[in-house]
Amino acid sequence: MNKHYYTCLFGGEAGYGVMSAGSMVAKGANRNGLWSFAVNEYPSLIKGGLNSCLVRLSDQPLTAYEEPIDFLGLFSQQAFEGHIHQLKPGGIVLYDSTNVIVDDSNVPAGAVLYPISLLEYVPKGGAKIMGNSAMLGAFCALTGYPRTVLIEVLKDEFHSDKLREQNIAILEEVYAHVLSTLPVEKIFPLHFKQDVQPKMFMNGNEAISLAAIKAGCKFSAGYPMTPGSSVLSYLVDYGVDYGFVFKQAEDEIAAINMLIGASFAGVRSIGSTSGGGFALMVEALGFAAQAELPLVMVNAQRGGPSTGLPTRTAQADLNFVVHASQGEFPRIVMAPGDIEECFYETFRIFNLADKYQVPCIILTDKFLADSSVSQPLFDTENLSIERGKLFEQKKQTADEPYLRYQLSSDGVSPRAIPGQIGGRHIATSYTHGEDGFYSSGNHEYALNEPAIVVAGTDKLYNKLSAMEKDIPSINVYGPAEADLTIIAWGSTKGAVLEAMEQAARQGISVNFLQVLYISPFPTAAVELFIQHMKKSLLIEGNKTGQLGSIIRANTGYKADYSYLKYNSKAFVPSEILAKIKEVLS
Amino acid sequence: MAAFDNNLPYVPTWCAGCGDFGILNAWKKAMVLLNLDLEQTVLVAGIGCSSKISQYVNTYRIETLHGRALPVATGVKLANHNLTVIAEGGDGDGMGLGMGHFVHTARRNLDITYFIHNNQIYGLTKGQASPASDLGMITKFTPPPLGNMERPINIVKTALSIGATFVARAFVANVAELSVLMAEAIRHPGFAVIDILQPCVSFNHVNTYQWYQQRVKPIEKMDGYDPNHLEKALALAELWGDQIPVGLFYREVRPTFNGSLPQLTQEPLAKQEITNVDITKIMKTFC
Repeated sequence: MNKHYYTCLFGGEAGYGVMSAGSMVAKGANRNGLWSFAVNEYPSLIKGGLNSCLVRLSDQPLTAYEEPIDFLGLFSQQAFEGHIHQLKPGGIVLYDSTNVIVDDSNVPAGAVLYPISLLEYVPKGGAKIMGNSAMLGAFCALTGYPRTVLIEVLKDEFHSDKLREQNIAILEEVYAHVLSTLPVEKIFPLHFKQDVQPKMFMNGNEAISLAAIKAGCKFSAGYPMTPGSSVLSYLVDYGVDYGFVFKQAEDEIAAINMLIGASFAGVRSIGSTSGGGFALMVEALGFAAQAELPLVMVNAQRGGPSTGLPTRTAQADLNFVVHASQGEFPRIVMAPGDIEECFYETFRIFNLADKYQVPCIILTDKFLADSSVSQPLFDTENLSIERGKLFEQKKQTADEPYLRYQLSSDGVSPRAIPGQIGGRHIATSYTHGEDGFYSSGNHEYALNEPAIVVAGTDKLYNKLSAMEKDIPSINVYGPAEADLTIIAWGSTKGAVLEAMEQAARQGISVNFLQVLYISPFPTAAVELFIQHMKKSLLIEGNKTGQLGSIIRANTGYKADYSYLKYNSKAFVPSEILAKIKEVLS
Repeated sequence: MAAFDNNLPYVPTWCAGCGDFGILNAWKKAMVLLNLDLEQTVLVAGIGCSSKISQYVNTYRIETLHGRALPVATGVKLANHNLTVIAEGGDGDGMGLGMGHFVHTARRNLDITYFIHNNQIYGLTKGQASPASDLGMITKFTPPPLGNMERPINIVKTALSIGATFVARAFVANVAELSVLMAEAIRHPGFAVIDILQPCVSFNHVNTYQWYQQRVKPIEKMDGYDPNHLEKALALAELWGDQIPVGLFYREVRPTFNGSLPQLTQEPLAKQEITNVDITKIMKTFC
């Protein structure tokens, strides 16, 4: 069955409600048998600038967005100039005639222009954000998108009866007015129908927060940083009902140290930030590793270095998080590719953190964190909590003392939680022996230092073999063997999958190796797969091909081609398909 | 309390005569005074000579990063508010890297206790100026002729001005007094700070036992003393030189951060059942 798509984009200054206009269109479709994918773009400012919300709808599941746009709803001149070139031939452009002056030379041939003075419909004294209800009324009339669907969504958006009624009235009025000017009533190209199973409409950060709550995480501390901090605000919103505590910290260093404190006290904890905040947390990441305290951190990447591009996407922190902190220690780095992986792998990583007592990093990016996608309800039936080796309470005796860092074949020792009888110990950031003591604190240890250091370091690395068996490190999509293998990670997955679908339809043989867990690097699994690869195309959202170099370092394999994108935008399927064709030609 | 409960087999590596020994002794006495359940007590230490105290007492302990004891203590307390949480570190650890955390922990008024071993020098790194070093002090990093050109942090004054609800200063030579003050600080429901003057016999040859001995004066005997009055406490906190007041400067009972959170009125987070969290309700809000 052929997929059908419809893409619309709402653009304007911050403060006009373009994001919520797009979100309502997407939610309405999501509730009525369609699949939605919404991508928000916004600069780092509060008012003004150019915000946009691109909404792609389909009659089948969506994994990516594309830029040719069927409908543009534009509030400002900047929005008009910034987006008019994205219009499909024959597409519709609805714009605010009081704010936009059209230069015909910019307008693609065949475009249908519809000027309307949106703010005219906002009652005196009403906020300009209500202009988006006027926009939505006109959108329904011009495209045939059922206005009853939007009105239902709109009802849920407002908590005040007055605002709800005012906005519905604006939508209805503009709808009637625009409809009266059209020769025939429009029919929306996608068919709305009752959903058999309700779907969620959710972004990556929301899915991670939900997984944290499901995993029994009860504590978070953080400092706001786009695009990571919305994980924290969702936890604040949903958490109180679940006995969850969030503490805003004075800085990221305090935040991660609070998480470590809570972890030491036996509580599952999560932090979320972006690259700059993560940079401040790096020393404490090593502390968690040295003290063998479970920790789950989210780094939602944005463009860098330094302050970089606060609100734009990138995949350039991979090398950083894989190597962050001084010394050597194992860590888990997982890069989810979609909403499902954000949920299920976050749940899993809480178990992994506890079982292996290591710091874990969920590496996402602005595009995945912030784009909302239609998603069936998560199946939580089979998710079970595994806390790993825990100390069993007993009376401590002088001849049988509890050793927090007792050496064991799998490198993991039972963890005692403060308050447990008989579990008193020292957890420490120093390189230590089995009882947590170290050379510069004790003369006794100084004598055995080299042996203790080797045993302590080996202990950390002895965790690897069990970890490797326990972690579903790679995913392979498409045929087992193909003319071309795409190698990618993180949010690029969705665009690759759609490009592969199109390639398959055109008779091009492509498969896809997704590296889901990048540290510890799944050398054996990747080496095995490489043996069956003919040609490869590495696709990453950075300048230097960071996953490519990690693969090369671990396996010696160098990808044949690479497609590296670092222009602040996420990958789209059409570009990937073009690249596939280019390298196979 | 059995001796086993308060001692570990290791011999401290502090220099002979170090003020930290006195603090360790007072610490143990305070535990006994309070009859504290050591299984329910967590000592959170920074890094430095002072923080090595975590190696020599037998509660639950976590030896954190340099300067980061307070945020770790915050996490411990919020995760299990039934625990007695004591943070400890030196003047360098707490007033250098840790200063931001000090300010914010105080304004939160978490129910934790903070003992600062103040020797006015970086000892473990062998003698650099600390944020509490006196003006003009000659150290490795502040050579003659100028010496230390930065005004020292007055820990008591700072603690008072940022909202600590129990603020005291003690001189380590008086172990009995210090242990009583420590016990009171631990008992105080809120953020309690003791600035413990502690000579570094190896690297601070100015602020010696003798130097302190000649200057410390019991605050209760000083004019204008009223531990319930912030302005009066601040006025006495200004004194540093010929006279150095020691004792309790100020005490106030104010709602604590951990006591104000509705999530923490019942069982601690650490005791909550997590095996079967149902998220169906939240998932439906996304439909």
